[in-house]
Amino acid sequence: MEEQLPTENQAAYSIQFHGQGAEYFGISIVNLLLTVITLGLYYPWAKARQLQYLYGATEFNESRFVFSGTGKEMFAGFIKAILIFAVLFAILGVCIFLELPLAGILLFYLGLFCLIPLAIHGSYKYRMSRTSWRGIRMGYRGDREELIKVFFSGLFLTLVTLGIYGAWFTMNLRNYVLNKVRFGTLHFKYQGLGADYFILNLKGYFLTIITLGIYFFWWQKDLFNYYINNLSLENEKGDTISLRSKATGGSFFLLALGNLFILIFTLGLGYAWVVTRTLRFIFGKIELSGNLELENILQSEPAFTDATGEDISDLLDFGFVI
Amino acid sequence: MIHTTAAKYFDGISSRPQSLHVWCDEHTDMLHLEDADGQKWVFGDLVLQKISVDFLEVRHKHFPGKLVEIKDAAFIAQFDALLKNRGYRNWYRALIHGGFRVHMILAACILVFLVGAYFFLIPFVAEKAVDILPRSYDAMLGEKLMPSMIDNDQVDSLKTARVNAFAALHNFQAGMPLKFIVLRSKEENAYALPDGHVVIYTGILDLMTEAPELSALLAHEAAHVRHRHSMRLLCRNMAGYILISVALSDVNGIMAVIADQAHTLTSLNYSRTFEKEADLEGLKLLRENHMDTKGMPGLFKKLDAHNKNFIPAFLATHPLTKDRIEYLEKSVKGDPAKPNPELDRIFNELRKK
Repeated sequence: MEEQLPTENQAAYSIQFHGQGAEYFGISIVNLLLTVITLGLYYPWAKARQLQYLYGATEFNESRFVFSGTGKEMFAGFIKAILIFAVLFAILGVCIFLELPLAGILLFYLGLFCLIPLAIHGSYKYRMSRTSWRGIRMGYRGDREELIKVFFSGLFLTLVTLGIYGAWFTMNLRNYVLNKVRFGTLHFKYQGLGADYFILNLKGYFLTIITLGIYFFWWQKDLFNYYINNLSLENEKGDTISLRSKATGGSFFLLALGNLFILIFTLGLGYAWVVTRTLRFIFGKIELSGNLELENILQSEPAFTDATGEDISDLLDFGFVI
Repeated sequence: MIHTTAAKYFDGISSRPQSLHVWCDEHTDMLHLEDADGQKWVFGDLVLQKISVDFLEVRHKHFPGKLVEIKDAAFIAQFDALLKNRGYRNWYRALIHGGFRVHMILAACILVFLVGAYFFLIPFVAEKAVDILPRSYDAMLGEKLMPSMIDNDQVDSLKTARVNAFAALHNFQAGMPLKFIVLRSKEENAYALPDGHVVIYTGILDLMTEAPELSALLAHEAAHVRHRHSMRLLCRNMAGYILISVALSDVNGIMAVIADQAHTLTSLNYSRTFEKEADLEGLKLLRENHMDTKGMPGLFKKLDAHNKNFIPAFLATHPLTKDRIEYLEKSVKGDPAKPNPELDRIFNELRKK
């Protein structure tokens, strides 16, 4: 029955992005065509096609990632998200009609803020359940109420401290969400410290000003590395894969410069190449090492179908959160 | 029947790869998975993702997690052809695999369509929308704008009364009563709100030396109200922004920014068209009122001469002054002078400090 394949070298993992600009351009153009023809209703299908391509182009140890979400699932979420926004705008409209514009705006923004943790929760839950590798699904086991607490206490402290707490807020949120992400019987671990993150941003901010913006790319590099270097994957026995970034400020600078030139000289049509270039850069800069056996991961996460969060996060325009 | 090929199979329970053989049966439209409990997957249930010419992922609609990886280019090509023959290759795949040239042509078509929609569809829809919207909407819009634009302390009530008396000697047929308001300000500007309020700054009044110039300014502003220029501009702008955001927000920021800028430019141009219309329609109003038309080019000459080095606010969105003076002078050439002692009397009172 089962043929025993040679076991993989325990210390070697590879992650690569194989997407081609021309291929992604084709997908984007067909998506745009259908979105225009359907007056925007095709959007969820377009998003599904786009994600299916990008996931399929990402290889981890000789197998590709799979995004198994469908336009149909996301369409339901899309409609719900639009209804939620319509209700928010309706409340705003009613308040203006009742000559209470201030109350209307306050309610509107309060509503938007309340949507953010819901969108993070929903989009993680949906996106992870639709992400798989070798047939093993990822999953998000976060609790909505807990996330809301983390979010609003963080937001409150950030406002009270005039933004200083923002670094701790970001780290708390990231720690909470990423530590709840599962990959079959494996789980992700992220350990970011607010103080580290604060110093990183403080240094980045001031050096960027002093160097008239040049340091910005090194700042971005630091943020990227802080994300990647603190991330690891662990199984129930404690075996791990840790991630390490070898990105440099110079390489970030060249990436941004190249992307800018592509966009300007193609009047934006080269966007597909910008995306594939950027993803190739990101995955090319990540190194993985550890002692975790990749062949014994077991399916553990149920399939989940509500895509509302995914679409709210789209409408709020924060793509893939955190 | 297609030849058999070796493939990797993941059972959706563990990440351990299993080797097996797959083959297709074209008579029953089924993919056979040998060794994996002898599963047979109907073509209609397959979810295919072609990663490259020599890498095909096959999944099953109803068994999430089960995955077959086929890395045999010959088999994949044959399988592709078979699916196409049996009618399983849909229009979407045909579009995606159309190649770079087809995609460039599609991109060009979309661009042409969007530009066409922008220049032909939007103005048409906007004009139709204005025709449908009742005049009372203009009034409502004006009332909403009024408080934000006028500072009560600035109102010169004496001059306001005199300008209104001056205007009362004309019949502007604006479709709604016109209410003139004079504001104390050095700015050489005047504008009409959609509800019939016309705001005039003392700066532009101080520049005038004779009654026909004031008549001309009032007629110009009255023409704006009469032809609902504010509403038309608003409708067109809104329709334009909706088109741009729907069509382009999906694509990317830079494209949207470029389109936004272009839109601002065309709407500036569009408002220039309105200014020209207001000039010419204003002249028509003056003639219908048997008033002197020479004040129209006269006023612009003064504005132009007084502002050699910078463009006053009134001219910024207006047709280039030189052009404007030219076409106005051409238009009023044959018109006789029409002295009007009553207008002169009020005008002289207005000129008193």
